[in-house]
Amino acid sequence: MLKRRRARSPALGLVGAGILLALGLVALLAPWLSPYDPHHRASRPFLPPSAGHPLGTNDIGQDIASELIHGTRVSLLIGVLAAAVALSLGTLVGLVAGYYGGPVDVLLMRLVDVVLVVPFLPLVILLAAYLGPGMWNTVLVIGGLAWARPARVIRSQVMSLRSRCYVVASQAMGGRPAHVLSGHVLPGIMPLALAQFVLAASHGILVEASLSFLGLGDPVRKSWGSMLHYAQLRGAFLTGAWRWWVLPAGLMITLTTLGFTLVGYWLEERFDPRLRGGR
Amino acid sequence: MWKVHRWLAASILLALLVSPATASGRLRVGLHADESTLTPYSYVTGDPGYNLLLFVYDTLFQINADGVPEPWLVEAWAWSEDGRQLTLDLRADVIWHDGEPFTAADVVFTFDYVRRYAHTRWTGPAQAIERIEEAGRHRVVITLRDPSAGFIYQPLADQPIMPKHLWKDVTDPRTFDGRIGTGPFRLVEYVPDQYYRFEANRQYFRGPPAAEELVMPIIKDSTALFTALKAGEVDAVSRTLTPELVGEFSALPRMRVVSGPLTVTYLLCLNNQVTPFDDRDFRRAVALAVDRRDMVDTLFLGHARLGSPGWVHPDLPWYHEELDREPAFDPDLARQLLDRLGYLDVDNDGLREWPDGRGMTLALLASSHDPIRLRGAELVAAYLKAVGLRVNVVVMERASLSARIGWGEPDHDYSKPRNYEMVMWGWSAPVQSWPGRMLGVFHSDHRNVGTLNLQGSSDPLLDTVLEQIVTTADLERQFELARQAQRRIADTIPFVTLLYPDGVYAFNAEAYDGWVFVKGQGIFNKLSFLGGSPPAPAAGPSSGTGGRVAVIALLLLAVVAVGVAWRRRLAVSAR
Repeated sequence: MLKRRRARSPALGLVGAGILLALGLVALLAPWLSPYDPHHRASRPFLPPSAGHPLGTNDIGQDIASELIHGTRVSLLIGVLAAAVALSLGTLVGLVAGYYGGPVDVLLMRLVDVVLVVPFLPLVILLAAYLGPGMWNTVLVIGGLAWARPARVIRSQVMSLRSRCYVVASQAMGGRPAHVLSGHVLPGIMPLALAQFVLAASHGILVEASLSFLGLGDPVRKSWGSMLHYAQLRGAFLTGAWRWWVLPAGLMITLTTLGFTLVGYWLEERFDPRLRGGR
Repeated sequence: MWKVHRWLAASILLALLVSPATASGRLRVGLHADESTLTPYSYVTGDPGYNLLLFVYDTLFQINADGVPEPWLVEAWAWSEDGRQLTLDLRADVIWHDGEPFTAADVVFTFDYVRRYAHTRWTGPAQAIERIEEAGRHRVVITLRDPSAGFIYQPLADQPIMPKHLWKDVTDPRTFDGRIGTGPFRLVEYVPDQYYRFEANRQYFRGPPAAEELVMPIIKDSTALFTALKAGEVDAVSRTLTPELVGEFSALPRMRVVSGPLTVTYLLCLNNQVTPFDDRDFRRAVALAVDRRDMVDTLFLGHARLGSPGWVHPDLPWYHEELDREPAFDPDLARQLLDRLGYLDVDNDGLREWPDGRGMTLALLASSHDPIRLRGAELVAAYLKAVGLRVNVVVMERASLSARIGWGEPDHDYSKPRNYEMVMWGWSAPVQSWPGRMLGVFHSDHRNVGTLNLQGSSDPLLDTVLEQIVTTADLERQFELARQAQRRIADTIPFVTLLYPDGVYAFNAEAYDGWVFVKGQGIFNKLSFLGGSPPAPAAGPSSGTGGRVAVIALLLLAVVAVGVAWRRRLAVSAR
């Protein structure tokens, strides 16, 4: 990985955290913030924006603004769950590979290489089409393919921790690998794992939106990607409805990804030993 | 980078291809699918492939604008007393595109050929023939195994006649590129995935067609297809307008929008072989709970007809009119029926339980390929919830859904039990082309006759009526039997017929307005070019503006992309 030339100011990280906090609040308070139940057919289909429907209605008369607000929940949830899957796998692989070294390390890292070089999006599309639509499938597909990068980063941190005095001391006193790893190594990689988690979540949200847009997510669930899916299928780009049907959802996806990315880079710079050297 | 170049090249090519025509009589029609080389064995889909095939080939009878077959390559025909023998006198003034005369030998050859080399559409119907013989240069005598009322519809008004002199030695029909027919147009150029070009057959026996030249660029993406029509890059398209675009296109000057009935059906299919749908009263409650008027207004913005309880489209001559008068949407009655059947809400959560008190959730399958079916499933789930039934919409990919319900597998045994509760389904237009097709949808012999009987219903009384339809040659009597069948279908409710979408077509009326709407099938057919006035010279420079704007936008995009990539490369090398 390229070393960044200069450290970012924490201000950007704070902006990112602010965005995430706001989105988190929106997701949490969705039922109170949105004017309608997003599944309720509130009005006639294909209405342009008005006082009653600030972003108009969709192809079966559901309020787009409410869909957008509730979509925050689904998108964040899937992003975070996918990141959790990816991080659990990545941390496990990184810990084992970094701690044991030798043939185990070689084997696991070659596996990581394979996953890293496989073209990501086509494989995700293939798997999603094979497994069928559904929230859990989406989570598993994204999580199951996004663990390689965190695994690599965590492994390098584990290797640097392995030779620290307190780790060696614990080993010397007969600590079993499970004890040493969970008691001494894991706490050391936590901050880094957190940064990786945040970045993976941003990635997950983007991939979920892409899959749903292609109709490979769960089309019945209200996510930003599925909103875009229906907008595209029902002629939003031809009728001018894209201004209130496509643009807001696209902006929300961009904003969320931006928030996660800013926070993730900021955390990464604080905790990644190789990036910290630049200060 | 390579990708950007390819994009540019492709868009410039497209812009050139669809640039305004200079020659008069040229018409540009956007095609929504690639249909290969257009022989009876190589075309791909029913719509638009089959219609396109009939630009090049002719059938013995031709379905006219009312949806009824009329003699085409045939001049006169007569049935024998017992209804098994048909004598056809062919027209003597027909020639193939290569100048050879068309004779009885070609007709006999065609039916022999399709019985020898299997094809999903041609072979089955041709098996009704016991013997087919030449009885003169322009006379054919066909003997059937059994009297058949639908024989004129299919195969005679369906089977394109192939030239014997070209096909007689062909043993691998699927790869043979023999595009010679007797039809109004000759296919002169076909570039896979790009376009077709047809020229008028000036020797056509019904007079030269109304367009000198037809250019058909293949544009698979529906948004791109309608954008091309709106921008004036094509004069018409092969596909119906989606409901939300009707207003948009009606408001455009130059553009005309016509609409008419299509016999395409949207169904809520119920598996009659599993509880609770094996109970007629339960199916009736479901049918009463579904607000079909609301579905027509919401899903199609009114551009559809209400589903008839007897399944048959209201514009067909054998439709049973009295079925209209019966209550169709009555949620209160549905609730009463469910109460009476013992499906009560014992735990007071607003949703009913099974009669034994267990929680009840019904699964409604919907294929992800069709947004209308997905949205329809959402609506149905809401209607049923309103009468207290909990419905879980299960979205599946098209192929896995078909595999799950056991549809469309060549070696599938349709007499096996079906593995679903409810599914959003639909049949294409030909399934209502004549009353005899009801046999496939409703007959109890699922293995041999009722091969479209997805709902798995069986009703001996209905079977008897249906079996009479196919052996009755008298049209009025046939229609009367079809009405009896509809009465029975409305009473037994094997499934819920939701709606029939209208065919709404938009075209540039300044370029050509001779389009003919064939009832049940739309405007994309050869009748549209026989008998109209020739197309006007293509519109002036204004029609190309949309394309040019798009190309300029693409160019700008490419410049930006190149710039960004270059800067990134610089930045990387600086590091």
